[in-house]
Amino acid sequence: MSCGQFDLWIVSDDPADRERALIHAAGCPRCGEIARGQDWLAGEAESWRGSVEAPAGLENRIRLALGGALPEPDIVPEVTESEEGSDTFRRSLVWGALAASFLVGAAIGLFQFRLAPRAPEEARTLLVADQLDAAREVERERVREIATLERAVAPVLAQTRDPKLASQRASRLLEYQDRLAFLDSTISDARGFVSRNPGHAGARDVLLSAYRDKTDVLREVLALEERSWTNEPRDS
Amino acid sequence: MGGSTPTEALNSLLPRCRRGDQEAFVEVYRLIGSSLYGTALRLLTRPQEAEEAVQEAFVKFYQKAESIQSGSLSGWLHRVTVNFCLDRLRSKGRQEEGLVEEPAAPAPASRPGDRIDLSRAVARLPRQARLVFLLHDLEGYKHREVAETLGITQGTSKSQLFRAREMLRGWLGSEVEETA
Repeated sequence: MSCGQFDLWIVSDDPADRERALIHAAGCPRCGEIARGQDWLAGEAESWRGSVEAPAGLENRIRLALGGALPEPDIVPEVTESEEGSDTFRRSLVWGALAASFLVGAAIGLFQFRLAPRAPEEARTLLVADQLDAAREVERERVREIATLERAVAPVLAQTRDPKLASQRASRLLEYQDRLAFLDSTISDARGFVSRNPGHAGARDVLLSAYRDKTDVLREVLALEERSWTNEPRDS
Repeated sequence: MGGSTPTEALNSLLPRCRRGDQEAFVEVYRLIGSSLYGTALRLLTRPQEAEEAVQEAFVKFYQKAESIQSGSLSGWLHRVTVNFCLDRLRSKGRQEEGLVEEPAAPAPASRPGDRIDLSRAVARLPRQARLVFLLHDLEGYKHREVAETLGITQGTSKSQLFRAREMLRGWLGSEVEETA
């Protein structure tokens, strides 16, 4: 047997080949050293194989991906307000109610998702790699659109700082600001949830829905601005 | 394949998984999740991606539980995890990068006497040699399976494995001498 044959037999899956390699190695200093090194390496590999522990949060992530219990508080934005009697407080009541209805709707959706029968054909609620990529692309498109709209809307909303702005118009712009602030809060919470559970179809639906709502509101602001230049005189 | 997994326990859970029992899937994860995560982490090296690989494996398991044979669940899950990792590496073009033949030497230890551990040394192997070493020596694949999985011949698998082991032995040689 040559050292060249040894090199192939020492890595063979066939125990007989390995036995032959070791017999050769017993009388060959070069191959004996290789054989000892590879035995040591096998032991290191074995200890490396058993040394990794999955992160603590992964079990919950798996559970969620399979439609298990959902930590609902993760998607509940805090709505707090204490300025009794003010316009801001009245608006907050309106938007608080809307927020509550939105969250109830989202919670019902997620609850139904959780309780749905878990037949294999229900796989549409669990995003696999291709679906996940597609969902992310749709979301990225929405984010780009929102960024463009926000740039256009920024000078319009900045008018609320103008003391000469007509009160009716100021009130409407403030309402839009509140709606946008609420949607930003919802988006922030939904994104946090999605980042921890990227394959969760229900959570991604909530996020995309919030993106759509924000796009609609931004467009409403722009439409208001366009009408103002044609129909609504300012009281300067 | 996949190390010392409690095969009997997994076999007993499979019928419950086929019925869609949520807790049975979680119990399977508890038995084998760390092993799958370790496999993915060694291949992808990034914890976030390794978590995605394990999640993907369980989603596929959930979808295909009825078609998995008793006694092969551990192997099936490991194979799905490995395939996900290899797809991920291919999609990022890392595999092409890894075909560069001459590897960089491992980073020197920061102080004399510091250990260069196996994981760091393996990370510096050429890509194909690294994948063959990980699949064969860590995941328990035979050369035939390595060849099928990576699209190479069995002879290439053997030569790459010898090459990988010799590089590692050379880099970690001082430790061999200490323990031999």
